This record gives sequence, C-alpha cells and structure tokens, in this order.
Amino acid sequence: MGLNKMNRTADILADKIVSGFSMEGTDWIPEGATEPAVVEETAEAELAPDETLKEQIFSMFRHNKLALVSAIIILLFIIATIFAPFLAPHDPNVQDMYNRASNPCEGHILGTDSLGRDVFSRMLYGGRVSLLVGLLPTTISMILGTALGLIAGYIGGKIDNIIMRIADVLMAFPSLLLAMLVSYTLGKGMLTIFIALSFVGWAGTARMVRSEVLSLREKEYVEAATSIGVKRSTIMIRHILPNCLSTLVVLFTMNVPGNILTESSLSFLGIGAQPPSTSWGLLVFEMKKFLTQAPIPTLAPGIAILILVVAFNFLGDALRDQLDPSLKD
Amino acid sequence: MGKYITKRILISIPLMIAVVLVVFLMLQVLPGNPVSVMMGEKANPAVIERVTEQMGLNDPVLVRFGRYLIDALHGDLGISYKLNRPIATLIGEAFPNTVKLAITAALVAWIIGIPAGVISAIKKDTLLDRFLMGFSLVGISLPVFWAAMLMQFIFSAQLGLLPISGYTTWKHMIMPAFVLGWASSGTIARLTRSSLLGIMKNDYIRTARAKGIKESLVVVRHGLKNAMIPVVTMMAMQFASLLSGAVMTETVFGIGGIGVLMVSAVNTRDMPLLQGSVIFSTMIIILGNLVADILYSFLDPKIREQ
Repeated sequence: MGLNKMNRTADILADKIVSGFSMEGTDWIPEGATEPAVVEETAEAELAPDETLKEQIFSMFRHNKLALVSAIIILLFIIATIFAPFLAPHDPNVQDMYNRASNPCEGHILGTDSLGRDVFSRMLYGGRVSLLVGLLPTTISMILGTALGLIAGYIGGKIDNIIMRIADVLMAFPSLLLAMLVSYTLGKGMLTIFIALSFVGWAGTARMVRSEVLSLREKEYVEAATSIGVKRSTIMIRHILPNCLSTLVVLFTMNVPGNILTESSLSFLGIGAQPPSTSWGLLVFEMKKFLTQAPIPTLAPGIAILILVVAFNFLGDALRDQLDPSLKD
Repeated sequence: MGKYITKRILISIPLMIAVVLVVFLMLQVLPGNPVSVMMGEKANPAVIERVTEQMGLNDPVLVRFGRYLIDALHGDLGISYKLNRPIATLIGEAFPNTVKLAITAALVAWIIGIPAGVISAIKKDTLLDRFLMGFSLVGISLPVFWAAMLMQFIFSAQLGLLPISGYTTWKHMIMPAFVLGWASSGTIARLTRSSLLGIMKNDYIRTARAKGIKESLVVVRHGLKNAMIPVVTMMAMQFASLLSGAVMTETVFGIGGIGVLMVSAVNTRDMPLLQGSVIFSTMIIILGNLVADILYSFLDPKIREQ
C-alpha cells in the first residue's frame, strides 16, 4: 500500500524538519563519516569522487555487520532468481491436479498452489518480477529526477518553478493511487506498473537533488569553473553531479523497497502481474482462498517479500549513516 | 504567524486544483465513449449519440473540467456507471468505516511508536534499542496484505478468537487496527528516537542536568516536550494518509471503506467512481499536510514568535 512509500518519503522529510531544530546532532554519525564529508570538498575528492564513495561503502561493510548481511541476502536473492531455471526443482507451470493447494510434502518443499504447481519454483521465478520492479523503475525514475533536479536547482527561475510545481502535484498522490489511475488508463499488467513507478517516482528525487544543488552551486569551485567560462551543462555534469552521488546512492537504496512493496500490493489486488506470469504478490493473491487449508504455500511468498524489503531497508539505513548523515539529521 | 498560515492555505488551493486536473485528464484521455461503455454493446448508436450530447461529453476537455470542478465544489461528484448511485453518497457511506479504521490504527501506532522511540533513545546503543529499532524497521517493511493474512490465520483460523473479516462489532476492529498500526508505528518510533536524541544534545539539557534535576524529569519535561514537535507533525500527516483509505487492509479484511471503493472502481472500470474517490482521498492528504504544517507552526516557538 501507499502508506509505506509515504512513510519513506515522510521519514526523509520529517528528518529534515528535525534538522531545523536540533543543534548539531553529530551523535548518530558513526566515526569516520564526518571526515569524508570534509574531504569531499577538497579538490582531490573532486577528481576522483567514485573512489572515495567506494572506499566509504567498503569501510561501512567492514564495520557494520548488519549491512553486510543485508547486502549478502540481497545478492543471494538476485543470484537465486537469475539461476531460477537451474535451481527450481519443478517446472513452475506444470500442474498437478491431484495435488492442489497442498502443504509441504515430498517433492514440494513449500507445497503447491491452487493449480498444483510447485510454490518454491514459482517463487524463484516470481522473484524476478519483484527484483526487476524494485531496481529498474527506481533507476529510471532516479535518472529522471536527478536530471530535473539538477536543471531546476542550477538554472533556477521559471524552469525551476515549473519543474517543482509538477513535482508538488505528483507528491500529493500516494503512489498506490497513482499506479491505480495509470492502470485504469493503460490496462492492467506489469508494463503499466513499470511506467507508473518510473514516471511518478522522480518527484522525490528531484526535490532532494535540487536542494543539494542549491548549496553546491555556491561553492568556490563552481564559481571558479563559471568564471573561466566552463559551459553550464559541463558544470552540472562534471562538478555538481559527482557531489550528489552519495545522496543518490542512499536514495536509491531507500526507494527500492518502496517500489517492491507497491508492486506486490498491486499484484495482490489483481492490478499488477497477470497470470500466467507470476510475482510474489500475485502468488499470495491466487492462494488467498486456501489460507486455512494450506497456510505455508500461501504465506511463504510474503515472507520472501518481507526479507528482501527488510534487507534493503537495513542497507539503506547503514548507507545513510555512512554516506549522508544530512538525510537523517 | 497569521501571515504564515494564510500563505500555506493559499499555496494549497492551486495544488488541489492541479490534482483534480491531473486525475481528470488521466481518466479522460482514454479512447472510447463512456456512454457506450455504460450502455453495453447492444445499445442503439443514435441513443448513444443523444445521451453523449445530453451529458455534455462532446464539449472541449477544459469546459468539462470546469463543469466538474464547479459540481465537485457543490458536493456533486457525478453518478457511478456500475452502481448507478451518486458518488458522493457512496463515499459518504464508505468514509465512516475508513475513519474508524484510521482512528484505531493511529492509536495503536502511537501507543507502540512513541514509547518505543523514547525507550530506544534513552537506552541508545543497547540491545533493547537495537531490538526496538529492528521491530520498527520490520513494521515499515511489512507487506500489509501479508501481515493481515498471517493474523487472520493465527487469530481466526487457528485460535478462533477474532472474526476473520467484516466490520460490524468491536472485535472486527482489532486485527485491522493492529496490522495497520504496526506498519505505521515504525515511522513514529524512528522519528521520536532521532528527534529526542537531537534535543538531548542541547545546552539547556546540560544545564538542567547540572542543576541536579532527576534524569527522568530532564527527559520528559525538557527533552520530550520539544522532541515531540516534529513527531506530532508526523502523526498528523500519517493520520491524513490513513484517512485517505487503507487499500490493502480494507481489501483483506473486507472493510467497506474508501480503499475498497477505489479497488472495485478499477476492477469494474467505473471511471466516475474512481475519479471521485481518488480526488476525495488526495484532498484529504493535502488538507492533512496543511493541518500538519499549521500545527507545526503553532508548536514550534521559533515560528510562532515571527
């Protein structure tokens, strides 16, 4: 449901509210996090922002075991779904009419669904949808949001006004409602969800990037670049964008779980993935009637969603603490 | 202060009109005549043409939008294609259920979230803090439909304690309130914790401690009082979001609220109903955010002084 997405954005926004309030709040920044932030402003970091970012992420994994475990879980999910054809014990579409909606039994470790198909195998394939929806529309919406946020923040004026007012309108909608509207117009199915999440989710990113740009454009090195006549587009891409990178990494990790939840919710409502293709949300939806008869195959896909989303959220929290404490306080 | 509130209200009005326009355009760009959808395939083309003309559907989009906006302001959101009843009436019937769910869920969220956040902040970096924050994060990560079904399985199917769905007695209200409340409590707990930790860094807290005031009093009277300002704002925003319809919870528990109205409108392709209910929901959220903003300016002395 949209509430989770809303919580996410609200989380960030509300944290911003706190920032205007608390004094310094360096309390939550783990050791070492403040130093790189300072380094970033020097010319050295300017030349090789990727390396410091990489180093920061590596040092986070060394110190934060929870983040490491989360990252490993996410990787395992990705590997499992990529190699689904090799790992699945059964063909996900083969039906066994004599063994429908059964609890775990011989040959079916998580039982079978309403048509006697192996739930574990279907979950492996269904995970592809969840991960794809988590990663791809998030990427598209973030590229869009970054571009628009850069333009709005750096060029300013009328363009800034237009972009941000559109963002305001989009952000007034809960994401689930917008996805429902789009699915009404474009028809049910995965493509609709992709479009809805890609072209709707950019607003939050744009707002974040814009505020980042507003402070970065006042920096001396931007002024220096402007004064020697560097083109505006070059300044945006070469000088400002690299310094937004850590914020973007954090935002990306925080947006993915929201999109995974929205997809599973829509699929559960019958608006998302359509049979014969599958997704975790759709699996739960199809088994809804068999909850008391076969609880394990009905509830198992939901546990997969929960684990994946929790892992992304833990990773996002850790990245935020490490890379961009400003998002928190 | 008065100026600030006036400004906030004035900003909200164009936003509301823009939201109505977006919903209107998204649903009107569809090819196909709604009248023929409404009458079915066997309808006489001449009749379809006449009704289309009567309903003013041949007018330009902006004219229709203006008409819709004026009607909406008079409380007329049109008539449902499938249920053949005024949409305002349908929303009026569904809304009390949504309100009940929102109030109970918000209460659960606050009762869990605020103490969890305060305890976490006081016991920072202990096992208890980790546990409470883990619990909150799981709440934020919860696929609500799944949590709802899990509870149905445990408390209705296995233990037989609570009714599995419907929304008539107080027993029906327990599970939905808890599921939605848990999902919402995570945000509150995390915000309470970070806000309180931020406040406890301030000089006046050190002064209070130096004066020898008991630690519990320092936390409650000096810390919490200020730390709650952003939390209360958040609570208002979240409550608005709950009031706009909890689509998943309502669907699983069979609660006839705004969320179910929207889902059924999508599934039966009832355009005016979808349009009306989505606009209604979004208006509540915008109004809720406005209230939260105004509340914040009342609570925060820094803004109040201005």
